[in-house]
Amino acid sequence: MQKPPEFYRGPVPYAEGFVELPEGVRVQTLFTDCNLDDLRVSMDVELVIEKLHEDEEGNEIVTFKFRPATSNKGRSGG
Amino acid sequence: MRRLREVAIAGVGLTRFDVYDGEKGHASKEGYELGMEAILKALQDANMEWKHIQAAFCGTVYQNTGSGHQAIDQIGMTGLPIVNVENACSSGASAFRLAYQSIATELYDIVLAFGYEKMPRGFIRSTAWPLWQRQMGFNVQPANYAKEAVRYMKETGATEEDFARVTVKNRKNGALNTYARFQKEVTLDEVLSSRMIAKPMRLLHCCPLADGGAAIILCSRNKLKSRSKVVTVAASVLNSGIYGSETGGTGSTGGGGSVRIHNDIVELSAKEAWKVSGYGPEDIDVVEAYDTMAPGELWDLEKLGFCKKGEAPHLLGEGAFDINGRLPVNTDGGLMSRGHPLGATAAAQIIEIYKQLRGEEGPRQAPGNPKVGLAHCMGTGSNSVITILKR
Repeated sequence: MQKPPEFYRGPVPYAEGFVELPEGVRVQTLFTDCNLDDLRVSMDVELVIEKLHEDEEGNEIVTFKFRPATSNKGRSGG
Repeated sequence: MRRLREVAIAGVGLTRFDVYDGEKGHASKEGYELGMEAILKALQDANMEWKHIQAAFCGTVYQNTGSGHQAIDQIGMTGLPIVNVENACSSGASAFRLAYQSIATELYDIVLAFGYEKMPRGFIRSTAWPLWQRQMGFNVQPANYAKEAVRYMKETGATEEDFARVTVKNRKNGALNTYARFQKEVTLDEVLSSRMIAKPMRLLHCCPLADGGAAIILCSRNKLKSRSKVVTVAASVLNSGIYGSETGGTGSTGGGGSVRIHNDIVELSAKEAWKVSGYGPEDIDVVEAYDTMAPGELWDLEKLGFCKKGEAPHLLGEGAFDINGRLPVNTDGGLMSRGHPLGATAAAQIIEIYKQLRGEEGPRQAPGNPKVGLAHCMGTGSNSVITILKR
């Protein structure tokens, strides 16, 4: 997404998609730590926990995200 | 299932789909006024009086409580039952389905189905998902379609140009529709150079926002005021939600692997529509497909069974889906030209099929005297609704 939709207060542009875990479960997720144009279907990715945004009181809200793998852990589904 | 009574369409009414905010030369109208306008036109078209209407179903999404009541209050509260129907983008056809059922089951003889919307600006807003998902930036309409488009490109070899050709075709048809929001053709280059919204979806792959109203009066055959060119309902089916779907509004399902355990919702509703109507894809003469985002029309046509998976881009390129093609699709310009007032859209699709079957579409009339037509709409949630009309 090039522009932030309602309620989203993270950085833009941003990329979201699905990661298929080895067990077959798929997780909808944000992607991070990469050039968004380099994301490809079926690339290996890995889990990270990082800041989503700060809420009204300045508290840091953290979330799961995935980034291109530095080791083989999961697979992006698009 | 028990045998149902035949249900005919008595008359239809449509407002122009436009921006009614009173700015830049646009008229200023409330949503309920658009609903009222569509109803009055439908009454006139049906040659019926308001007192003949026995029940009303109103599709809206973003209007306030009692949306149908507000519109009908402009005409006259007669004590008739009014039920408001919210089924996202498929609300108008869902209201139509309830009206159809109430006549088919002989509860009433003459029923109004209508829908209207005065749209909020910006991305189509959905409250269908938990707040945390929206804070994560998930389930934004163009992004949902972008994900499906990426998968479709990988699986079928379709290109961004194929998607752009849907817009070009529909905007060309829309240029012949004086009730469309956009009545101007666009070129392939204009689509492909328009602003990126969610890669690979560009601005001109997205249907425009619009406000508008659409109304349909249905009745039992014996209540029709005219017996010429009678159009009846051959199927009105709705499926909502399939476990395992990734997203709400695109018709996408699990993309393979171990989690694909159910059919696609569009394929499921198509299967039901063919079964109920007794028709198959080869019997359909004119189609309103769901082009809220341009590529959606391609996989819609494939899932409905009009061609095999991956064939739609090629057929589109050959002109098969043009007004003069083998299977005219979105002869009124589709959502891409008409715009998308959520509550009215699916009813407007049915109206286009009705008028095509009656040969009333003038410059955009599909040739060959079409006898059977199909309208398909999706809605967040998810919903897939198919209406088949026959003459």
